[in-house]
Amino acid sequence: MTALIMLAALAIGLVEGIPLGKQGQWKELAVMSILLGIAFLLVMGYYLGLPSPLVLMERLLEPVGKAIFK
Amino acid sequence: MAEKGIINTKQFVWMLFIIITPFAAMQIPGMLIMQAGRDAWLSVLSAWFLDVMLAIVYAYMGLRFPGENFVQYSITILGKYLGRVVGILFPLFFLLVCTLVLRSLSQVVDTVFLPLTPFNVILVTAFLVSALIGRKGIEVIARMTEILGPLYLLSIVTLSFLVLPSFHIARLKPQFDQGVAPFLVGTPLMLTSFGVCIIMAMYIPLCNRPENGFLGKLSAVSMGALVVCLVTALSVGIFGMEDAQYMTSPGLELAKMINFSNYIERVEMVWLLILVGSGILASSSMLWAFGQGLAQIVGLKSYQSLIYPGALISLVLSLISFPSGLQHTNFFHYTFPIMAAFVETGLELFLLMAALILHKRGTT
Amino acid sequence: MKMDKGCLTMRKLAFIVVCISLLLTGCWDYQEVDRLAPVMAIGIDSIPGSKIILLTVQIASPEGKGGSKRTGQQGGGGEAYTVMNSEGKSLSEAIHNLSTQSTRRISLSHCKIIVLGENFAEAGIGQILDELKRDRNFRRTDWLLTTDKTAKEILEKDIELEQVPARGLDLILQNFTTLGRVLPMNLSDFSARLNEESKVSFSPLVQLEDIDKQVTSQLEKAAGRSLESAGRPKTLTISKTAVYKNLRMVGVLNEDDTRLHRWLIDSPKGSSIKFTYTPQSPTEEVQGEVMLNIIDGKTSITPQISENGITMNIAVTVKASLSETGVTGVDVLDPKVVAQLELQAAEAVKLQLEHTINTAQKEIKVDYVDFAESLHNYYPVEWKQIKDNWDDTFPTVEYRISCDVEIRNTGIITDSTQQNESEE
Repeated sequence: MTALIMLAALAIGLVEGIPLGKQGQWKELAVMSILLGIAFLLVMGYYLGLPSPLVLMERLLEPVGKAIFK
Repeated sequence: MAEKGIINTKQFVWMLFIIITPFAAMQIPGMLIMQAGRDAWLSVLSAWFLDVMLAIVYAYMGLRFPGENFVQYSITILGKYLGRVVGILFPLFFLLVCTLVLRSLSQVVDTVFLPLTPFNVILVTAFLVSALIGRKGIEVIARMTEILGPLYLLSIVTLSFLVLPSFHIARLKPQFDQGVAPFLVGTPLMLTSFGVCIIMAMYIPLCNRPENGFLGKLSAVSMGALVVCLVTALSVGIFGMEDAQYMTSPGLELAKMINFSNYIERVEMVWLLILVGSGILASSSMLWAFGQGLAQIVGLKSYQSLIYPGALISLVLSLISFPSGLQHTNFFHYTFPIMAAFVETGLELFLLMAALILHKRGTT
Repeated sequence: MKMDKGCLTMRKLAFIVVCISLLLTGCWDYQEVDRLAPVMAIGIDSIPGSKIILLTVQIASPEGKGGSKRTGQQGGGGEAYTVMNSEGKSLSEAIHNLSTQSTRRISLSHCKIIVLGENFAEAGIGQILDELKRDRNFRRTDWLLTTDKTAKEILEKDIELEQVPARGLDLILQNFTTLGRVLPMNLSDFSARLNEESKVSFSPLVQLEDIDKQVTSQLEKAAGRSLESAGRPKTLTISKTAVYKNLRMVGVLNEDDTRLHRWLIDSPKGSSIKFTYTPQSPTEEVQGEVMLNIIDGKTSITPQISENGITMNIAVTVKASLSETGVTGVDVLDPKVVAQLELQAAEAVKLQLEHTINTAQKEIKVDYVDFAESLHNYYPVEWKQIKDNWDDTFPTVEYRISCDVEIRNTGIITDSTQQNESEE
């Protein structure tokens, strides 16, 4: 799964990145790379056993939700 | 190139409607019945009313800051830095909604229709299609919803009529059996799902007639409320509240119940079409809004290149956050409403107050 | 430049095509029809031992051209169905165990009939309800039947005119939904009723009856000699109702009670009223069986709580057509006579309803007449106090029946001309 995600990230980077680079939209390229990097980090984190941000959010907010809802 | 597409009011209405539909088609009615019991349909109505109230705020802000969506006007109101911090919450929220919607969609498809197909395959396919549509821009989404929206509304209403013979009004009685508390608790749960329509703030600047924003939202959310109301009331009236509250998708069970004079039966595929179609369109709108919002915060010229990476993050999130469907449902039930209430009402009201106090308004 | 752009689009298109051909093959869930064993009905019995569930499935075999047996042409491809059995600790285990003997994949999505054997129903059906509701293949529209025999015996029986018996049962129950004396029960309603306040549900009772033998012996008595009989096999009949309370079968309603029970909780529509007509004026010495067919009707149960306790007001309105006056020589052209007929029919209905409710209160002592639910609907606050000892309260609940019969038409003739010679 991890490998597939990385492959997908690479593919997106190539397909989207090359035209951006050709047109000189460096800022766009940078933001896109950061996003891909985040995806990469998330997968790596999961691989290393770190909780996902949604899980963290759940730990924070679920008690509130359970207090309100049944 | 930022989004240059222009949508008309009709498209605006159907886009909002199709964002509510997947919520009606998936777990929300079940959760609502769990909270509000037989009063669930009343909760839908009160949530509808509150959401219309909220829409006034959004429509007013859309008019106060003409040509700007909430990402842009939060920068206008709060300044360059704080505005960006607040503004980025909206795109992130949309990404989260996309994650949740596609995950629940795939879950239903996986457990009910394609049990042998690996879950990830369904999920990846759903993401691929949404990203593809989202990247094509708002006009593509708008035109698709313009065709599919009426179709979905019509089919849901037709399905509701077909299932009526098995409806027992006695199972909806008595109302307010446990007092008004369940009804009051059900309202915010439903409101947070309707509240995803805050995406209207992204659409208003692109409308050819922004002053119709409120009316558009009103009609969209009324249709959406009708659909959710039908599904909840019918599933309580048919399965009884005790059974309906634990269903993963009451609407789907309703479609399975249809046996109209032994002639029309096994029509749950129609429900599947509604579920998948609206779910994917809603998430592509979400992805589009994420890309657009993020591009505006960072100040990019184009947002298209951000759609695929956004979809990838969303996919990764939905893969790594929930080990099973149960966790996902729990997240949807307990965590999402809190977060959504914060973003949808808290943040926007805060922006409104700030704009009023700081006397900020948009340039015409 | 233009060339470049075209090239790019082509490359993208190729990328998408590759992705789609990899991802959208749809090969995971394919099922060949000729590799499927479509289960049409399942039956559940309980057996002693550790594997307490005996599952009987009736599988339609598409190749078998049924009916050949009945038309007398042997070798027309065999039976249209086969029956298989398997055991298990639970229903799903039994279903899994079926695969040890089936050459084809067991497909439960066409199952329409669920038969519960008597032993099993009396021991408690809780453990299978969960599986029936959880499994995506079972539908909540599946009919639930109980039998006073074992489910295996029922599912092994042919039904005349139908190739697959499950289909025959399905058709019988479908007919019952519009007109009939037994209230058919699907899984959804069954489960919803069990969840309701009284925790009572019911299902039709399917029986095996040797109608041929009964009829022949009756005829023999009448004729006074022994008759030849073709010896037709036993027949499946559905005319009674099994009552469940707290997931256990607690009693069986007989035919009359079943019919009136349906009147009470559903509607009288499709049923009939049979009573003996006694004319008002003593000069006419006509008397005889009259039958009314009910065209339309409505029953409502309204509870009333007062200082004296709980009273249920049962109001029945019936629109009927005259079906048979027998030999009575009833003059239906006389409005007075019709009014009299209506009154007497109402009286008959009232008596029968009282009998049914008495059975519920005094014999079975289970609230299968929906009193609890209507109390809960009309008096939700008071219900919370009554609720806890409802089982003790129910037999003492007072009820008042008002019945209103209206004869809408008299069939295609008015008075009948042929009467018994005694009438002359």
